Amino acid sequence: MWAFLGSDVLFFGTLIATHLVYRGQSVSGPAENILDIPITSISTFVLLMSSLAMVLALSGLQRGKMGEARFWLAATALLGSVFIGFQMYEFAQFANEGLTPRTNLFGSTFLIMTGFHGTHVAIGILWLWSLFFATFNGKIHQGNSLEVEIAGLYWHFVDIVWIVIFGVVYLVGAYGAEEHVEEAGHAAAAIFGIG
Amino acid sequence: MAHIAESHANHPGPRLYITIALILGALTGIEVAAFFLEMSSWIVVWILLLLSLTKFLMVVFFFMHLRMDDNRFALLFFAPMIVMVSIAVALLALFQNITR
Repeated sequence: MWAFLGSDVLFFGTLIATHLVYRGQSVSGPAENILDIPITSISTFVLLMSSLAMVLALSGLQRGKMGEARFWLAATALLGSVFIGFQMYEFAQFANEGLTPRTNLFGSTFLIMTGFHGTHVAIGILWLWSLFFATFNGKIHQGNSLEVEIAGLYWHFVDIVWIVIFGVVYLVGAYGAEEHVEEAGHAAAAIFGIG
Repeated sequence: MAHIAESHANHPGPRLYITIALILGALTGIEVAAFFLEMSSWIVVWILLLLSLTKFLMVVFFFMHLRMDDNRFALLFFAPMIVMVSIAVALLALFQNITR
């Protein structure tokens, strides 16, 4: 799982880097100013709490408390679903305001990046429900809690990817986008001795 | 298997997990508050980046248990991260250089 997560780091890193490189380059349509920080803050908090639910599920299973493990597995999946709901609402709002993947560079890079993240969350939700139901037929028990721990690693990874996207793309991005990217670019250029 | 059992035994209890989650929630609140602050833009950007990094490391080391796991797992995870961050910084530098 750690090797897979390492490869996924490169995958999301590429998407985030591409978005950063093209930020401020959209010549038409809505861009960074369309981001709704208060709403996304709530969805970020929901995803963080789902990570808490995930570790509590694993902790319960490792202590042999199956009821506790089931409750927190279901809670994790439900919180993940709430996050997906927020993302669908956000995408619908963007579409209403004229931002689609074909509108401009911001739309392409932002929606592909967050769309792939949402897909990862959706896969995680299916995985969590499969584990939840497997606890009832004895396939998941205290003796093989590693199965849940591996799913947990995936889930927490999805969470940390969102931590980066929320911090770098939403907050730094929406905070006077062009000016900051330019400043960051100059700083990076200074590090590499370019320009 | 012995290593796995030992690793499980070292996992923190629910109380620490809840404490970590509360800190993560609070850091997110500070991030959002910093976003709306009337301060020098450069300072705010650095505050936001540092808070994101702190949250990232807390989840990796406590929730993903990397603090207690084998160092090879940390290598598998952080090596691509270092490569990716370097590429992103280099792209940003080149991009700014080309378009200036």
